[in-house]
Amino acid sequence: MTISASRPAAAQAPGPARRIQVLGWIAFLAVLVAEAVSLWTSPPDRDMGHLQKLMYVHVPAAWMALLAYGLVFVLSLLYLWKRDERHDLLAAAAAEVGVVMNALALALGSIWGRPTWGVWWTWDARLTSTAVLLVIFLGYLALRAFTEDPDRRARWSAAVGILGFLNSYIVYMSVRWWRTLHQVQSSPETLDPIYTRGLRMNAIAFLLVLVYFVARRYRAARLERAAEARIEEAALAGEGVHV
Amino acid sequence: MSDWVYIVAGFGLTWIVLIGYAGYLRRRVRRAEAALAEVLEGGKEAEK
Repeated sequence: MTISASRPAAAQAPGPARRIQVLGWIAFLAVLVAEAVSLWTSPPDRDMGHLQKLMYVHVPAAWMALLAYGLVFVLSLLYLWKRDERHDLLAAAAAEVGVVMNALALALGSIWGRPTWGVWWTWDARLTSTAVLLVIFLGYLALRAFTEDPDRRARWSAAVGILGFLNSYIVYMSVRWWRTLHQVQSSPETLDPIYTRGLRMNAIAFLLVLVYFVARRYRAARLERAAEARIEEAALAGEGVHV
Repeated sequence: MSDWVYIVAGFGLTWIVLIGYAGYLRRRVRRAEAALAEVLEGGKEAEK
């Protein structure tokens, strides 16, 4: 297993940290611009009126959750194959960001559902499978929090990450497989062209935010792991590390 | 309620979550940096 603790200076390097900060500013500015442009330029929808504007935050949040979980899937497979700890830490970072985006997408869907469907929540296939996805990845994070042995933590969470992502496919296809209250997938192909520019702009802005969050969370994970490994090394060598 | 109440609530919630999580990550990185520095410092003291 590759352990970053032997190179704690790399984890503390200021260069990457500054680049991540700059990315953060660019990402938040992009969200601000994308939201402003889409709010001001998109006309009211024939059926939903101005409520259609909620699509510009709800859909990108849902896409980013699925993307983050896809990243967890790929990195978990890579970890099981190569046993490189960096893959495990990056997967954990992506999972946490995925949970944030997933919860945001559900909350925004609820806010959108109340005036359009008349309910805050219904046990619709899309909503239920998305909620199940959130619970699976909350379980993934809980598993990591309560497993002390780093190797076991990485293996178990990789297994949960792979299985959890398989549910993403059910989430994506749920609106086709079952008769649901939720509309079919919103994409440039299913939308009136007048709304696609705003959706694309917001999706790109959210993608930048996702990359920023994952990079920042990964940095925290590397630092935490470096400290953890240093304590383990000191304990094995019989040194006393004062913390 | 007007449609705009829901729209403002949705966009407002988005910003609260994005800024709130960014703030949480900032604090977590700082805490991790401090913890690592403390551990490394503790190791040096032990070597002395």
